[in-house]
Amino acid sequence: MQKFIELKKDENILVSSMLESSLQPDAIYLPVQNGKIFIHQNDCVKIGEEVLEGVLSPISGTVKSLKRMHSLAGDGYYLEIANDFEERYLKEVGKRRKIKKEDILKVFNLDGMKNFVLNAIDDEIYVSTQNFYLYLYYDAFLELLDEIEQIFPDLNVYVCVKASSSENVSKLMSDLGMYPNIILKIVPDYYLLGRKQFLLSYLGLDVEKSFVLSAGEFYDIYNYLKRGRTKSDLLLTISGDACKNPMVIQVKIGTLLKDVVKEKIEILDGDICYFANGIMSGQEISLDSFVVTTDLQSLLIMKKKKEPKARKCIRCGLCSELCPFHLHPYLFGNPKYQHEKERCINCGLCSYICPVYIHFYKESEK
Amino acid sequence: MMNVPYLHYPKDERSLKKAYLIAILLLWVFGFYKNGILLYQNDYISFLDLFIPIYFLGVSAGVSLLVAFLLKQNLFLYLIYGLILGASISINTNMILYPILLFVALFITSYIDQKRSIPVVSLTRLFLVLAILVQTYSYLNVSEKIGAFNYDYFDLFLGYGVGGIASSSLLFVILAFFILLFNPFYKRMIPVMASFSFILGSALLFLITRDSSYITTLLNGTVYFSFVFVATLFYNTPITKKGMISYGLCIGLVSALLSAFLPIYEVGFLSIFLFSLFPSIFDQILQKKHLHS
Ligand code: SF4
Ligand code: SF4
Repeated sequence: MQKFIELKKDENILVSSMLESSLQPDAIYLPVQNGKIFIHQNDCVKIGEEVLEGVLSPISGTVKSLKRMHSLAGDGYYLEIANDFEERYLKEVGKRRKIKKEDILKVFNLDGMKNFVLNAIDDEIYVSTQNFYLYLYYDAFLELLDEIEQIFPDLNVYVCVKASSSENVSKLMSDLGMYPNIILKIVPDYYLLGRKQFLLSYLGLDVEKSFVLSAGEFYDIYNYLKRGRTKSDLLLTISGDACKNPMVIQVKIGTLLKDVVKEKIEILDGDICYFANGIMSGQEISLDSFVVTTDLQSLLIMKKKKEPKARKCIRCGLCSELCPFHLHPYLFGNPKYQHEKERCINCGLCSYICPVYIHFYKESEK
Repeated sequence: MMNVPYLHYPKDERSLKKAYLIAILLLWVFGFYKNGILLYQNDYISFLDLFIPIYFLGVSAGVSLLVAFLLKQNLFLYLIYGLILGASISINTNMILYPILLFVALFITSYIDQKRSIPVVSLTRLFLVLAILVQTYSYLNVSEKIGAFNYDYFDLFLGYGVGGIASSSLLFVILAFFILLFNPFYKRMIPVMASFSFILGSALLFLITRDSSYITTLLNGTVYFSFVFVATLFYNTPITKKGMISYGLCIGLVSALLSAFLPIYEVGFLSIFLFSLFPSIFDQILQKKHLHS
C-alpha cells in the first residue's frame, strides 16, 4: 500500500497571485536534437510554422544560426530565431469554434475510458504552475470539460485540486453546481499526487480506464481545439527562498531563462543556486545558456546550503517504506540491484526521510 | 533528487538519540527511587548509599564518553550506550571494578565494531555479566536480600521486583516505549514482536511445566527493557519491515526458551546478541524473491 506524506516546507515562501508575462524575447532557441531542419538561415518564419521536425516556431522572426545551449532536453545545438515582435501566425487564429466528437477523438484517445481526470496538482513545493493554469483559464476549462462530458455522457469527469489551492477550491465549490456531471476531488497536500499513477491510486480509479491530463496540457488542447492555436508559450513558477518576489510567469518557449530572471526577479544577495522543476525531483542547473523548453515547469532559486555529512545508516528502513515502489535505495550502489535502480523515478522521498542524510542519487553514482 | 540540503524531514538521527536519552533517563529516575530513596526511607541504607544509583549513572556515562572520545566515536551515541548498560546491571556490582570492566569491555567491542559491525551494547553487556559472575552474582538489593517487602503482581509490574538498577519496572519501560514511539525512526516493530513472542513462549512454558515463575517473569521489566532499548539500537538490526518483524519474533521466543535455563535478567540481552550478529540474514531470506524479481 502506498504511503503518502506531506512535505514540510517553508510557509513564508508564497507565490504571488498575479500573473506576470515575459513574452517578448529578443530571440528564441529551439533544440535541434538530430531531427530535420526545414528552414535556412535568414528565412522568415511565423508562429506555428514547423521549423524543425515536430517543432513549431513560438515566435515570428528571422532564422539565425545554430548555437550551443542547454536545457532539460539536454546540451547541444539550438536553432536561433530572432524575434520581429510582430506575432504573425501561420494560420488565422482566435475565432472560437464548436468542438466536435471527431476533434476530441483526434487529440484524446478516450476509447474504452471510464474516467477523464483533469489534474491541477503541483507536486513540487513552492511551485504553483498547474494550479495557475486552472486559476487563470478557469472558464475555458469548465467550458471544455462540459463539452467533453456532453459528447461522452458515460465518462466520469473529475477535476483534482489540492486543498491548499484555496482560490480554485472556493471557485469550483461554488460553480460546479452548474456542471452537475463534473466531479470535484479536493486532495490533501500529499507529495506525488501530481503524478498520474499515484493520483489514480489515491482516488481508487482504474489506471487502464482513466485518462489523465495535467492542467497545462489541457489548456494547450483547449487552445488547439477552440482557437486552432499551437503552443508557443507556457507558465513557469519562479520562486524559492532566495527569490524576493516569487511569481508565476508566462514565457515564450525557447526564451533564455536568464533573461526572464533578469527582467522579472529580484534575488537576495549571497550564494545561490538554481533548480529546474523543483527540489525533490528536479535538477540543479546553471542559468547560463539555459533555454526554456516545454518540459520546464519551475525554477527555484535557493540560498546555497552546505550538504550535511552523510552518516552511517541506522537501518530504520524508512527509505524503503516511503518509496512508492518499496525499492531498496541503500542497495543502489550494488551492481546486483541495478534492476531496482532502473525502476526508481527519482522522486527524492528516500533522501528526504533518511535520518542520516544519505543522498541516494549521489551515492548510487559512486 | 537534489533535496538533501534544501528539503528534509524535520527530524533526523539526532532526534532519535534525544528520544532514547529522555526515555532512558526516565528509567534512571525510577531506578534512583527504587534503589536509593525507597531503601533510605526505610532505613536499609545510609545517606551516602542513597547515591549509589547516581554513581552508576555517572560512571556509565563517563566511561562510555571516554571510550567514544578515545575511539573517535559519536559521543551522544555512546552516552546512550553507557546509560543503557548502566541501567541493566545489578545494584550489587562492585563499584570499583565496574568502571574498569565497563571501560575494557566497551573499548574492545567498540574497537572490533570499527573493523566489523557487531552489536556493541549486547556484547558489552555479556562481557560485563561474565566478569561479574566471577564475583557475587545477584540482582537483589538490600531489602530484596532480606525479603523485607512482599510484593504482589501489581508491585512487580510497577518495578518493585528484582532487576537491573533502572530496568526492573515494566510500567516505566512501557512509558519509555511510548516516548520512543513518537520518533518515526524508532524500530517499533521489534519490541512489539519480541514482547508478543516472549509472552507467548512463556505462556507455553507455563502450560507445559505449570511453573508459576514463568508468569512472574512476564512482569519483569528487564526483558522488555532489552527489547525496547537494546534490540532496536542503531546499526545491528534488519532493515526491512518483514526482517524487523521476524527478528523481533525470534528474539522474544528465544528469550522465553532461554529463561528455562538462565536468569531472566540475561536472556533478552543474550538472544539479542545472537540474532544481531547477522541481522541482514532476516532481510535476505525474506526479501530474496522480491529483490531478484
Ligand atoms: S527516489 Fe527512487 S528509490 Fe527513492 S523513494 Fe523515489 S522511487 Fe524510491
Ligand atoms: S532511511 Fe537512511 S538510515 Fe534509514 S534505512 Fe534508509 S538509508 Fe538507512
